[in-house]
Amino acid sequence: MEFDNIQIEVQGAVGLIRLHRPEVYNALNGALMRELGAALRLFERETDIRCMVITGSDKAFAAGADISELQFKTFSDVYLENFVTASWEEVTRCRKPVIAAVAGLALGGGCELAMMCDFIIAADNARFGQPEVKVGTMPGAGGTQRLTRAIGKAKAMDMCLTGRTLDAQEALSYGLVSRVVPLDRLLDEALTAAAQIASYSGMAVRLNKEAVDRAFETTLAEGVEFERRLMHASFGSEDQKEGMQAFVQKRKPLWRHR
Amino acid sequence: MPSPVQFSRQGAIALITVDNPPVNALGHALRAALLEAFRAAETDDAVQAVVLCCAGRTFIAGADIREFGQTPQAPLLPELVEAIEACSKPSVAAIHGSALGGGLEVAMACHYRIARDDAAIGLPEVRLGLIPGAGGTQRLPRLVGVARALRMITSGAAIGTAEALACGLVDDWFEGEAQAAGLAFAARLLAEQRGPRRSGERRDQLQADDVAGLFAAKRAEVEQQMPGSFAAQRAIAAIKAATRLPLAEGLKRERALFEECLQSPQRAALVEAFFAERAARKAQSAA
Repeated sequence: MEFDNIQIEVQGAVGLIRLHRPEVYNALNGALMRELGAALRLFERETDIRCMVITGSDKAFAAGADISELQFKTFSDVYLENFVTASWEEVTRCRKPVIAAVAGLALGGGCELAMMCDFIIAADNARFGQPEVKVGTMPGAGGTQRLTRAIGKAKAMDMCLTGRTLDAQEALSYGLVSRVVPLDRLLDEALTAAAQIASYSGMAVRLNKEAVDRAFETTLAEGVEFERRLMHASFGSEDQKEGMQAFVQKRKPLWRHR
Repeated sequence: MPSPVQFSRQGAIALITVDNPPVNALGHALRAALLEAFRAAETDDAVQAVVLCCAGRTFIAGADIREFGQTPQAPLLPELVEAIEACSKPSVAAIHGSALGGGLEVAMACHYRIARDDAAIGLPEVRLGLIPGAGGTQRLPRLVGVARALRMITSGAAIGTAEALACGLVDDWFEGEAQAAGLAFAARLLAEQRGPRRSGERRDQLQADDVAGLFAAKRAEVEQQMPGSFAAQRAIAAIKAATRLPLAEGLKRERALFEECLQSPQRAALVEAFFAERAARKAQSAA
């Protein structure tokens, strides 16, 4: 598969994916999402890559789903092709961390794609929104669910029902994004965070990610129990031994990522 | 002994399949058979494109270690590589598993490359006290740029499919069978009327902002991290030649530096260490 709608780069142990449909503010269409999924699978498969970053342009992470591609589709079309489920959720299947580096517009499917990532770093010009109501439909890639979990019912309802967007500072104060940086620092910040993650044991990083993700699927007691068992399990890994021994011996750990 | 290469024609596409188990090493018989196969593709008027792929678990994984220390028999690898690149019909190497050393040099002689998602691609010669000797130091910087070529060749470390795709070393990637992917890519080349695209004729990637700075920095780094490494310093000199000389001259310079490495005591010591480690591993797994 050749990549026409995205560009990929590898920097050390970090895989970078740029959404690249500049003429339409990175509107997400089937071709782009298939390429994104394939690139993520390629990075997942590569043992030397331990963290991934998805970004867009300075003006748009992704302005939404490509409405020109969707406008005439019938219920049967989208139901039978399993729209969204079939090829838009590859990010959620990644076991390695995925960071969204968002500048400019992250609207509709773009906001949902960013929310599927493990966390979002935003440029100060970022804007987040779920304006699907304005075109007679609703979010369909987890927008109503992930947004509500991220920022609570009141603000999620406000966004979905009015279609209003959040600026970067609002998104930060509501907990939708983890950091806000000046636009010209965005990619550096995201790649530095990714390199830091990649410098740790890939095993430990996955265990952490799996445990945090479980918080969204279960009760507190069950979640804590799950966390406890994963922590116990980490003591069966080579890297837990190496990490703790290196700490005690005041040296740098040599990770085996297992 | 069966031929290590099968040649067949599928419509306008010549399919050259290497089958030289266990790792399709580039020994004399394989070099000779490959040369013959590419010549057959060149002279067959019905052939319009060529696919090179390998049977078994890997692409051509490298040199045949049984030939280490012997006087190699013709055709030598540079001759084979030159014939492949010169072919007037576009060729694609479909890589799965490892394409290392001579394997990558053969792949770079092909006009296009695609790789399966599991590929490991590199020029590890310095680890055995050598530099690539069949155009690797001249073609890799032409494909991926000076900085990355310096890193790959002086470290000997392989890169994965994602990085190879991102830096332009391969044109596309695939999952599944190399042969099917190679044939599909060749069919696309024909449909789009894309002809030969010889790595050795490219120069665009050789232009960098500060080539002199890159070489100086790499020299210093190698000095510090691999003090006294005979081969790594010569690899840098060979890549420098790629940026300054036309291909034919660069290849001659590479060959001279390669010969220097071949004669060096470091080469002999590293090969000895390689075989000793191999024997130790075998003894260990037998025990």
